[in-house]
Amino acid sequence: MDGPRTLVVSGASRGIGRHVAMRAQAAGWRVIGLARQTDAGAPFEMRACDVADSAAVRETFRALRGEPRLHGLVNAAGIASMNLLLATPPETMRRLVEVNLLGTMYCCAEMGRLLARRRGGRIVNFSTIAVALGLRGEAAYVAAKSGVEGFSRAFAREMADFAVTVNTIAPGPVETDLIRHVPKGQIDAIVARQVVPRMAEAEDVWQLVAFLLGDAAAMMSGQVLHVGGA
Amino acid sequence: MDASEIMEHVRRTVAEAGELPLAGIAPATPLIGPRAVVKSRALVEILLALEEFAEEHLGVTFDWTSDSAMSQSRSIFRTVESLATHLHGLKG
Repeated sequence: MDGPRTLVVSGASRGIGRHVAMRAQAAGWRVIGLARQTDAGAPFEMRACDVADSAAVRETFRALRGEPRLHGLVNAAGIASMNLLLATPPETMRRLVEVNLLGTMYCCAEMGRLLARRRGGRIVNFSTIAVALGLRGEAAYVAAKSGVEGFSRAFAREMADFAVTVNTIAPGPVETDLIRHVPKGQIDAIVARQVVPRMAEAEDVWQLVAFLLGDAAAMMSGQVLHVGGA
Repeated sequence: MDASEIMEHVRRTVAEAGELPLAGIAPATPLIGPRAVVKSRALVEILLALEEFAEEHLGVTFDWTSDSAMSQSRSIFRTVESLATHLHGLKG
């Protein structure tokens, strides 16, 4: 079948998700970006979807059944909260888990059904270097993202029967809105603990996403890959 | 489509996904549990195929995600017959 493959990117309104969506579009993918609020100025198709809302996720992905070359999902939607757990309100903890972990799981389950039918595809989830480093002040965020890593390893085994790979990218700090309010000294301290002690750019992340989405990564699944090294 | 036609379609779907002879697929053939004739991968394939069948031929939504989906005592996937009966029941 001819035509570009279709890639769904959650969190496509900004940050890493936005960059991935734009680079994928430029690389020839048909990109469908998901975000709570669509952006008419986006150079790719956008659909409104709150990934923490399972019913909305189901409706969004069911509408993709007719996509002839549906092939990839990048779960880049995420929120962070840098705070000591003792000072974190329960509502914030709940929201961190809902968006980061459950949102990823909802999208994976719905996309998984579509890709299983097609006998192939790629799913890329996002964690954080904070998990590997056990960063102070990020306990709730780390809890949610640890969940993403464990979930992805197990889900990768379930989807291997259908030639669908599932991998997780865990970047160090990347210059995006997500870390805009984090003090520079704190960011520098994290970067210094990376194997490659420099701040990553969204493009570094895209390069790894592009590899994982490609045919060359068919034998790579269930892995957690650290951009920057942890 | 009546109940017997749905049963026949379920039997064929199970046979195809499980790569089993159609003659060996009876209404009482178990789909889950220790005596299941298909593995989990084939069961997912069966359910994906029936999801599509339900929408295209019965005009109903077959939602096979539920907390009791794989329960041996309550699941609609216990046997070919329980699955076919559930699909027929969706027609209302």
